[in-house]
Amino acid sequence: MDGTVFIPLMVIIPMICAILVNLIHGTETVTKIIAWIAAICLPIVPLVATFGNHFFGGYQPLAAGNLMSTLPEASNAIISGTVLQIFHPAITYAFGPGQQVVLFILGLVAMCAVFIAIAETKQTSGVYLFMLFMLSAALMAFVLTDDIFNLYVFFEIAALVQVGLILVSRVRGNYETGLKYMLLGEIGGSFMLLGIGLLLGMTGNVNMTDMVVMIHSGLVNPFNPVLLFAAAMLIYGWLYATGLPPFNAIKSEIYSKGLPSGSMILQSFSVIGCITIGLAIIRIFGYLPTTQMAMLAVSVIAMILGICMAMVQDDYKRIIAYLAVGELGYIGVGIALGTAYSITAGLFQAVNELVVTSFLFIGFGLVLYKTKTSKISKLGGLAEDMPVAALLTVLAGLTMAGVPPFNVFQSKYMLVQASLQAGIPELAIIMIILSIVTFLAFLKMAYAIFLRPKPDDLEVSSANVPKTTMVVMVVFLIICLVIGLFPSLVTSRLAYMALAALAL
Amino acid sequence: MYDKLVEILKSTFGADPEKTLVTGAQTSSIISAEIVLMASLLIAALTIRLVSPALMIIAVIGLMLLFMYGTPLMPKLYKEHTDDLNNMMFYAVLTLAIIAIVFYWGAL
Repeated sequence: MDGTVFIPLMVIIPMICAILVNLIHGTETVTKIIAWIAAICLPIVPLVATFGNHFFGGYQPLAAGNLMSTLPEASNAIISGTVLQIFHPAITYAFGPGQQVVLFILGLVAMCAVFIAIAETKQTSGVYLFMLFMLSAALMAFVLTDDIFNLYVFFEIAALVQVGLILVSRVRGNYETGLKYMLLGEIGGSFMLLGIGLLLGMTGNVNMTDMVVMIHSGLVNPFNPVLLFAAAMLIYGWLYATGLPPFNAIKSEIYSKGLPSGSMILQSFSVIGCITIGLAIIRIFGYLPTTQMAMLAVSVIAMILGICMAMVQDDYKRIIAYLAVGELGYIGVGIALGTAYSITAGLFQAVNELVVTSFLFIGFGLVLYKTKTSKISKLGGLAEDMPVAALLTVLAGLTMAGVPPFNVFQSKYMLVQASLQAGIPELAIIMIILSIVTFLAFLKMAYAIFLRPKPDDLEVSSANVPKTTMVVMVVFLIICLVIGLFPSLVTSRLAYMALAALAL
Repeated sequence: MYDKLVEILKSTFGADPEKTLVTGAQTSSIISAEIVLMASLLIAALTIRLVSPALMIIAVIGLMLLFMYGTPLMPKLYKEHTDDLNNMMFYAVLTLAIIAIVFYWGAL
C-alpha cells in the first residue's frame, strides 16, 4: 500500500472524530472510546505515513503526471516547456522528515490534552472534545499544506475554535475575552486575507511553491509595491496568529481563560502558526531584507516584553502565558535570521516549546485543581500536599528556562550560535539575559507556590491528583530529557524542512 | 528611589494606594524587570547598526533619555498591558500603520 495515503488522514481522522463526538455526546462511554482511539491515532499516523506529496483529487502538476498522455497535442505544445507545466492545479500536502517530527509532537500534545480533558472532568463533554479535535485537525493541516489559501481557511477555523474553547471553559470573564479576541481577529485575519488576495492577484496562484517560482523567475516584479504591501499584510497576520506584539496581551488573556487541556492546545496554535506562517513568509519574501528586519524586530520586542511582563504578574496562569509569548520570540528570531541553521534552530525551539509549555500548563493546572485559585499571593506550601507534582512542575520550569540537560537548553544554544553566525551577537546576548530572567521568574513562582509557608486562609482540596495527568507529565519529562540528550534525533529531520523553506 | 518606586507600585497595583500591600518580592521582581528592560532595549537598539549607524546612535541616545526621565517604566508598561479592548485595538492599528510605512520606505 502506498504510505502517502496516510498524509490526508492526519487531518481527516481528527476532523471526523470531532464531528462524531459532537453528534453522540449524550452517550458518554461511546464518546470516550471514540475520543481515546482517535487521540491515540494522532501521533501514530505521522509515524506510519510515507514521505511525499498528496495531491487532492489526484491533480498532480502536469510535469509530474505525464504531460503527453493527459492533454491534447495542441495544448501540450503550448504548455510543454513553459512554467505552466510545473504549477500545482489542486491543494497539495507536503510531508517530509521535518513535518513528521512536528506532527508527531503536535499529535502527542493533542492526545495528552484529550486524555486530560477526559480525566479531569466529571462528565465528558462532547462539545469540548469537538473543539480539541477540530483545533488539532486545523493545526495538522497548517503544517502539511502548501496552499496559502488553504492555510488561511484552517487558520480561521482554528481561530474560531479557540474562541469556542474559551467560551466553554467556564472561567470568570471568558465571554468577554472571547469577544475581544474575535474583534481583534477581524483586524488581524482580514488583513492577512488581503495579503493573500494581493499575492493571488500578482502571481495568479495560491500554491506557495508556484508563487516562489513566479517571483524568483522574474515573471512577477519582486519589488512591485502591491507585492510589498502583501508582504506587510502577511507579517501582520503572522503577528495575530502567533500572539506577538501588539497581540501579546490578548493571547496571554486567552491562555489564562482556558482549562489546562485547552491551554495546551491553544498554545500549540500559536507555536504552529508561528512556524508555518513564518516559513511561508520567508519562502515567498525572504529576498526582501525589510521582511527579515521586521520579523526580527517584532520577535526581539516579544521576547523582551513577554519576559519582563511575566516578572510583574501575580497570576501564575498569566506568568506562563507571558513566558510563552516570550518564548515565541525565540522561534521568530530563528526563522527571521533566514539561514538554514537558524531556521532549524527556530523549528527545534518550536518543537520543544510545544512540549514544555504544555508541561507547565498541566503542572500549574494541578495547582488550580487543588486550590481553585491562580493568585500567587494567596498560595504557598503546596509541596507538602502534592510533592511529586510539585517536583515535576519545577522541572518543567527549569526546562523552559533552558537548564541543561533538557531540550530547551539545546535549542536556545543553537539559536545563540545561529545569531553569532549571522553576525548579530547582540541577539545572542539578549537571548542569554532573557533566559536567565525566565529562570528568575520561574524561581519566584515556584518558591511562592510550593516552598514558602502555607497561608492560613488557603483551602487545599483533599482530592487526589488524577493519575492520567501525572502520567502525562512524566511522559513530557521523558521527552524533554531524551531530546535534550539526543538533539540530533530531531534537528537532523527539521533541517530538511528548513532547507525546503529556502529552496527556490 | 526605592520608596518612590513603592509609592508608584501601590498606585499601579491597587485601587487605594494607602491600603495596597506591595511585598518585597514583588518590588524586587519589578526592579529586576526594569533593569532587564533597559539593558535589553539598549542592546537591541545596537542592532539598528545593520540598517544605519546614524539611526542607531539616535535610537540609543533616545532610549537613554527615556530611561533617565521616564523611569520606572514597568508600572507604565503594566498599565498599558491591561485587558482593555481600547488599548489592544489602539496598538493593533498603530502596528498596522508602522508595518505599512516600514514596507513602503524599506523598498525605496
